[in-house]
Amino acid sequence: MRITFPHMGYMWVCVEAMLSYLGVDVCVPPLSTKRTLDLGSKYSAEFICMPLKINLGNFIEAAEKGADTIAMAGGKGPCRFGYYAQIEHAILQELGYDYKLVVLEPPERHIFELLNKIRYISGNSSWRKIYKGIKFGFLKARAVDKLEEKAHWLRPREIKHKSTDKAFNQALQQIIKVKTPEEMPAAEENALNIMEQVSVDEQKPVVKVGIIGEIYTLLDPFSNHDLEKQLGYLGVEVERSLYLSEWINDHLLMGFVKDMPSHKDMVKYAYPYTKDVVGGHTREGIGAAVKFAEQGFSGIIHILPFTCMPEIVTMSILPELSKDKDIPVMTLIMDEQTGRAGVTTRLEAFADLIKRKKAAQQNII
Amino acid sequence: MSQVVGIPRALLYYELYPMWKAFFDSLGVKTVLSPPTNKRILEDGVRNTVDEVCLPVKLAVGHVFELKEKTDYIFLPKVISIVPGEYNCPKILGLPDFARYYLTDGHQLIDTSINLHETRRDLWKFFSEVGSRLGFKQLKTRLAYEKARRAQKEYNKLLLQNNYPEEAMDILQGRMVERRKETAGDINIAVVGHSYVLYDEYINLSVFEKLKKQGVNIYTPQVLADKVMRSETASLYKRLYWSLAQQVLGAAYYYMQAPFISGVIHITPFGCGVDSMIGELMDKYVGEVKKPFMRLVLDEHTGEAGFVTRIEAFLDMLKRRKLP
Repeated sequence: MRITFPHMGYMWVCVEAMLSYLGVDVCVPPLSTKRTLDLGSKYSAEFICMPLKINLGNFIEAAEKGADTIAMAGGKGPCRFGYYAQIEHAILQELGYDYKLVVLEPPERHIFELLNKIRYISGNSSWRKIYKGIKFGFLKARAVDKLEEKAHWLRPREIKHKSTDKAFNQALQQIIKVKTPEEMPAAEENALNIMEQVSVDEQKPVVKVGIIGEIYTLLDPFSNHDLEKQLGYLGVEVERSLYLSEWINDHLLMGFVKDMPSHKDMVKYAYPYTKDVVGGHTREGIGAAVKFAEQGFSGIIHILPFTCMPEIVTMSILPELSKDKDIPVMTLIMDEQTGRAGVTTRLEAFADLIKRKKAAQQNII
Repeated sequence: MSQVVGIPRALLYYELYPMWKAFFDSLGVKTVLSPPTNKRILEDGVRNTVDEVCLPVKLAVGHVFELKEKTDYIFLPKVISIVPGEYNCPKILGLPDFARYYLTDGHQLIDTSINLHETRRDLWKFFSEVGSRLGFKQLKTRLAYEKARRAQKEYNKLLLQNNYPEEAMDILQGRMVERRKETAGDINIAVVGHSYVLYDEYINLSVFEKLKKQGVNIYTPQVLADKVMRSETASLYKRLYWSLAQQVLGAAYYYMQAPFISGVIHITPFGCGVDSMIGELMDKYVGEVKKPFMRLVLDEHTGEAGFVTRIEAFLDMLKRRKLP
């Protein structure tokens, strides 16, 4: 059994760590590229959202490396993600790939529903080992998130262009190469130290922008055309509404780790706009937008894949929020047709707009 | 008490209107239904929504605009789930959340949630909330609720007797005498899709009329019992969690195997997320059973000529297949 899984940003770091620790033969698909997306788009329906197309491409490329089993998360709806695994499996079968499918459905009542599946994949490891494995994966996810947060702060202030990216890649390697949970604290410190070495101009004026939206395009630099990097180069400090470790804690570990921001808090901020279930991360996204506005951010960028159902609702609510809170909002829609230059132009225009707006406000005061 | 409640003739109107109507009638609340979709409704809808929203939701917004001037309340419940364990499409769930901004002062939106995700008994919770919102006592609301449920049952029965939704509603209200539709055509075709696409003639450019003129007998998902459609999709690896998609896919599967059906047409609005998933499953299945199949994608820019040409070509193909 050679297990593969779909890509979503740096998620592979944490999944690979957990599975290899449990002694599973893991096959990380090649990092998503244009080829991945082309393969996926070729074999899936036109209106299916982009993450499915990328995932499908990942699996085809992983099969070329010899993977024979897919492990991926499921869901209960109403977002389409909950049905991804089944649709992708059906398409792959039709194409002649003989994959075995293991879907990790989010636990409905008890965390053991999930643990049992993980135990199955790991060839019946002891519970103690599984606990340590999950903890290891989670620690890695958290460490990567910390590096990303750090990079968001450094990038707009760096003195030498792209020095943050270089440090980030080095630091990431420190996290990736760790093989046991015991080495994690040292590696994390080491990695953060590398990030500290980037020389910055602390006096440099920066504007802050909050990014909200659909989880995949939010977390995956390939599918959002390095949105965070591009904004960083433009002198914009970004903050994301969602991090991988938070999502894992909320949805798979059922809030097991207590000292972390939880989606429940975000939902409360969204109350004036939407109270009940919409699906996906609509409530969390709206909540985060309200929070960003109240914290004095200069703008909000909303990102979603084309035809994403829950985020279209967010998109419909945002104009009103933008008016209420007097905060500029820009929506970016991503699909296989999106060109990088077009995204860059829009980001530049948006950055110019919010910088000018901020300058105007400061003159008045 | 002269409250007037407006009900948009859009989206779940085709599924649940008899229930709403019976409920309000029993309470003595006057209701106003928006007229069938027309050009102005379409324009209002398109102008006031973001591009990404699908045509049926745009039209729903248009219908809200239509009712705005004439009513005190607009009835736009947030229909999260109508079958335990299932949901509706997120865009339908989210509609009341952004439709709210189109109403000016003095207008009120009844956007109470219907959430039967846990249990069907929560339906009473919804009606009791609506009742108390309009200022009625629990007992009176309860009676109205019972009537509403009965009306819905009657309605579902009439649908199974091959009446179109709006005919069934007329029969239910005694405006029309029951009559079975004549089956005079020489070819049987199944047309599957969401009820708000199939029965809104303005959206689908009167596709039923066009087919009938060509001598086609039309079969829709609504004439199939829920049980039948569910058993068709029971073989899926995982239960479909959208109730409406369940209906469409179940009907498509059923008609694709039915020997008396010559071809299947799937009508879907541009960018429909749910249909993109079940469409994939339909395509896979139709390849196995080798039944003629066509998908028509509709949006506000669909031109009638191109649409007619495709239907004609499909029918010609079916007729030629029938020749010895």
